[in-house]
Amino acid sequence: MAVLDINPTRMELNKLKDRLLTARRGHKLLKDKRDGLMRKFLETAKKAAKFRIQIEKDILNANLQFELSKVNTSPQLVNTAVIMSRQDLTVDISTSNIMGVCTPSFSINKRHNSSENISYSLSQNSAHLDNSIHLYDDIISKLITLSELEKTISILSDEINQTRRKVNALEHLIIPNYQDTIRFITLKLDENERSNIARLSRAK
Amino acid sequence: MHRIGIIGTSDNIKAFSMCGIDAFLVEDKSEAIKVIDRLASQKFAIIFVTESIVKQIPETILKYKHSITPTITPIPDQIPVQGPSFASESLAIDVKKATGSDISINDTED
Repeated sequence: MAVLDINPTRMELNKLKDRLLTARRGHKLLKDKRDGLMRKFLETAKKAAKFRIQIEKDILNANLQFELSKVNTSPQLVNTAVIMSRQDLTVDISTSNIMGVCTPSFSINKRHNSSENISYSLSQNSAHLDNSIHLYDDIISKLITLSELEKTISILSDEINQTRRKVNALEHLIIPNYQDTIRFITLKLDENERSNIARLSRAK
Repeated sequence: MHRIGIIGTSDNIKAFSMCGIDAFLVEDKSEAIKVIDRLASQKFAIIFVTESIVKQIPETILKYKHSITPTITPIPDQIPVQGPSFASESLAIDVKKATGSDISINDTED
């Protein structure tokens, strides 16, 4: 039982009743927000965990291919090929809104595709290099999706944590305090009323 | 228009530059932190960092964890490191923070 430090007057009582209503409505809304965020979060987390396992395998495979390409070819030639087949890649960031939380979504811009027009000497480089270029190309788009998912997860987890604290504070502290204070003021006013009646009847 | 970067210790990250990603070879963790801070100020959207470096610089990763740019994503090394990876650990931490309990996302997978 915690009564707020205010005067037990009718005006304060009305004010408090209003505030209690607002707090209850806020509590309900925040609870819904928390549940919505949680559902989205678990969905994303599961997806990201699966995705990461798969992508780590893909990267190891691509690394292997790239290493193999160095076996028969001199490192200088591979380096030249790597520089030659360099393509332009940028990402655009847009934000999507999940329950009022901004999360990023990346979209890839490719100037030209290196896996389609190979720009190094085919006679001097091994076929493993061609393979690895294809694999890396594939990996990049997946990695970008993975980054998006993982960033979403870290932003959502923070937001869920905050929302949960707000919900708990409202539920266990603010709303009970208001209720107790309202009760206290009502009792006090009733008491005043009774003592007033008693005083008047004695004066008669 | 944002660029993508990759930071690693092995020569292998060069392969990623074939796909239009800017590769940065670093020697130690202080150099890695410098590169990450520089890339962050240059509007890089995504920075891939290999696990072996990520493990040494948790403070820097935490610094950029909740901002949209740059997004730092750990990727496996050329030779996979033993034990749980930083990425799976950080996922577990996030799940714990959000749900309040230590549930394993991988186990609930069907």
